[in-house]
Amino acid sequence: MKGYRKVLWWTAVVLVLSFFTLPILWLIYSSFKSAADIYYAWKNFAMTLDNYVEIWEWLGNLDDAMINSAIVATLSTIFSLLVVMLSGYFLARFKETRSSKAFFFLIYVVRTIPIISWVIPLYLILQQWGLTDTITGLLFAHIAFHVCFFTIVLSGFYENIPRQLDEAARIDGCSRWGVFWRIAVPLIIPGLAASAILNWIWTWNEFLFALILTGYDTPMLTPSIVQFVHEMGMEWHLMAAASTVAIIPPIIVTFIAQRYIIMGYAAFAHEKA
Amino acid sequence: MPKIQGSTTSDALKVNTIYGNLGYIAKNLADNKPGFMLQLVMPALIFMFLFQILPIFHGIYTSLTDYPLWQGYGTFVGLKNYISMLSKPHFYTVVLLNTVLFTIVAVTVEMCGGIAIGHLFNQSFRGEYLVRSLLLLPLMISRVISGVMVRWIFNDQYGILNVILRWIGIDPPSWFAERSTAMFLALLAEVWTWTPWYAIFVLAALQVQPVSPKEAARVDGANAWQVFRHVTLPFLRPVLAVCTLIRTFDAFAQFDHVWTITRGGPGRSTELLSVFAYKESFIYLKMGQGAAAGMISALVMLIFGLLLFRRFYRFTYRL
Repeated sequence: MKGYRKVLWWTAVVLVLSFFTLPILWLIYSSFKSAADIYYAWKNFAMTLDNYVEIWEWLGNLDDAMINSAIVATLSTIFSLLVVMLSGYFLARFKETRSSKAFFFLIYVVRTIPIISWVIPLYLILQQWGLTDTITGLLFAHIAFHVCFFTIVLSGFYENIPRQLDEAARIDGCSRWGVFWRIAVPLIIPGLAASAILNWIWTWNEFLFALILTGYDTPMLTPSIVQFVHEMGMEWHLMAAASTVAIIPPIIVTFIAQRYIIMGYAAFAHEKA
Repeated sequence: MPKIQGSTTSDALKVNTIYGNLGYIAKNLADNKPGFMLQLVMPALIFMFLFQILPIFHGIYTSLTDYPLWQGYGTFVGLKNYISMLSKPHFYTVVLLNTVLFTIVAVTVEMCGGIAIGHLFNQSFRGEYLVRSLLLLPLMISRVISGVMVRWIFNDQYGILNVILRWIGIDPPSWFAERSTAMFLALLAEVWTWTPWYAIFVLAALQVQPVSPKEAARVDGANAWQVFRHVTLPFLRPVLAVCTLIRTFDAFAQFDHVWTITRGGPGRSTELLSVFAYKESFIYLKMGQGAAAGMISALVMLIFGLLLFRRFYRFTYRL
């Protein structure tokens, strides 16, 4: 590209990027303003960390909420990867069989159904089992929800493994599980990393499950942030600080592991990235 | 046929001594193909059955009962919930209309924006990594935070956007007080979040697109638009189809943005089906009514999804 075209191109890039990043920057910037200064856009102000101190003192359960969210995100990542590792292999390796096609159809059909349609009755079921407002109940919902997307993602990775490898190992005396653990799984470690990252971040960010399935005893991060806006008036400075804390993990992960995130998404569409 | 050595009796015995009977059965099952397949798919099926499919059937039952949340059980009332919901004009002129419009507008804008941005970034330049990370950010942060952010930026008195608009000399509308502007804000948050999703898929596809068909079209005298329309777009079609289907399911079920930005207000005028179902269940505590709304939205999406299943399957596997 030469001359004016290059200028034009950079202008477009800058415009697009400012649309997507300036709101986040504004939120972070707002979190350093004191409660009095936050209502003035241009006024000179002193940077303060008071909001961060206050969200911890004022709302005693924010650190509980963060710990709970981290626990649920980690456990859900581990368990759903264990489940999906197997079902993704099933989908990819036995693609021609009728049962694999039926499974694909099943996860597709379940995925079409809006979350709200099954999470309201799930609340009633978990209530009968005594699992509402517990981490376990929330965890189950997350694992079930993640089956569809990550089965397809991992099957995208498994399909890239040449079948000759499997056959060679079988002829050399490896059992079916041996082929799975010794050949298939080591070859999709990048895929597992990508899925783990996406899975963790999604669970950390999730709102609807946390809103419905948990309550006072197990505060979760996202419903806690919404509380600052609605039930306690408009505590914008606290809300901005809590949001900033909540977006730290996604931001770090995006910058460090960008390649894996894109790889994971691309595998979902069976596209090589 | 070559003898497969992994399945000798001594091997099975070894497993037997370590894991007991269960290991023996598992080993025997894994020796034949159907047994192995069953073992692979079983955990996923159990989770999906217990926590998604079972609740759906429970939801069908609940929707046929009058179930106040505080009471803890439901009394069977037949189709009363459906009839009372479907006989109110609010359901059609507000809830259903909002949901359908929201889905169509959001998905269309995101797709067009995503294709454009994907093309824009499809070249190597300095700071590529940084730029892509920045583009990914909206997708990675919570929907709740993007919702709250829009609320803050468009705040009637103190929002930065209104300050800028007043500074330019435009009198900003009071964003949250009208149905159309409140809906616009929810859509804006949705578009802001999900345009990068398309951009990433388009970018990933464009980077593996073969150059020769494009060049051939150019040599034959096609202009840039014609190359895009007749060469690039057909190439992108499978990816776009898969993304759009998933995106449509999610946009139709969208809850987080509308809930954090408008809470269905002003009045109840920006309710989507999911917000309607949630409010009926947990604000007005009519679980039966909420479940009925959930079943209606499930039915709509199920029909839509079934109609397009063959396409999704073909495009996923590039058949």
